[in-house]
Amino acid sequence: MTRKEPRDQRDLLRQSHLGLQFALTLGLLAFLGHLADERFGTTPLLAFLGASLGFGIGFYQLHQGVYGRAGRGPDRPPGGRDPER
Amino acid sequence: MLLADWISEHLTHVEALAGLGAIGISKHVLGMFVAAALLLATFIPFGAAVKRDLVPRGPFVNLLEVILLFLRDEVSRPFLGKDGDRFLPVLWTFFFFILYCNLLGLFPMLPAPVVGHDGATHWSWSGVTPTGTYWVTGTLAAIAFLWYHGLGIKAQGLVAYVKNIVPSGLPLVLVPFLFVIEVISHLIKPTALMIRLWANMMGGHTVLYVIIGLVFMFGFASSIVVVPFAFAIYLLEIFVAFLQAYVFTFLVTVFLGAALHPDH
Repeated sequence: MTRKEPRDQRDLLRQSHLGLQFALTLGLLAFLGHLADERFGTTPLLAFLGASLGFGIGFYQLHQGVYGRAGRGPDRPPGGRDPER
Repeated sequence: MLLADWISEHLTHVEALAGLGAIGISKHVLGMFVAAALLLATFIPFGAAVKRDLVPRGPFVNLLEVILLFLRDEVSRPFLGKDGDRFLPVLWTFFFFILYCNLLGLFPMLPAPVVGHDGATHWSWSGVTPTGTYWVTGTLAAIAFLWYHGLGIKAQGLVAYVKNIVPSGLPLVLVPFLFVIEVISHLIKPTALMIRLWANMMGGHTVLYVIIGLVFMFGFASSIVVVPFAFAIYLLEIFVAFLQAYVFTFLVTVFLGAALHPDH
């Protein structure tokens, strides 16, 4: 069995956050849609719209988190490499 | 009262200390004061020991140094570089404050007079996990949010910082949409920090209550099985206390790195 490099563990930890972020975005926007539905009597149109929007935004965040901006790597220091210690 | 109701009430009701409710001092606030006092009690002697002799001597100084250096070498420097060392004191404070708050609920403390949900004063164990309520974790996440965005704005300037929220090179028509999406993403990040810490701390306590509650449901004899099982969960809770303090600090560092280096 090969030992996991600290860098892999860090990536794993950071990416574990993305799942919660995805779920929260989806849940929050669906909930806001549900509240708007109750207010305007449009059930379930706005909840569905919120959930769809949440799914889209959540997926965008997921993509940004995994691949980063313009493929330069996610939330990494300059050069995408661990800097000199 | 059903066991489930009792657990739910105990976990969600924030009890004010008798006579101090008017100024908002609850058991959780008291817990934060205790955590802050413990921070001082830990780091004033540690600072004095390091000042006296840079070579760590004794288990206390060595243990703390291992944790501090781990956070520097495995969390801060990989994301912030050596320049990031100037932010380390704040990251260390986040870690140890959250750790102490997480651990406080696992140790029995003296009873204190509190005001129950019925308005009557009664005595209750003052031991509580301050991070087991979303008000505390939310405040910590809000502080972190303001801190890393503030530093990002200071490093790049307000206009450049706002411009950098949206990736460059996009068609102009997409910019407003992406701006809204990015703002939502920025707001979701501290929300996720808040929920993760709170849910983990409250979840562990719920499991402990439920397992101990089995004794009341199945009688005293069941404690032969229940207590060792609860003890195992208790040990897991200690691990979770460390892990969640680490995860919170780690993610704040990642967000700070993204705020300081928007192109990466």
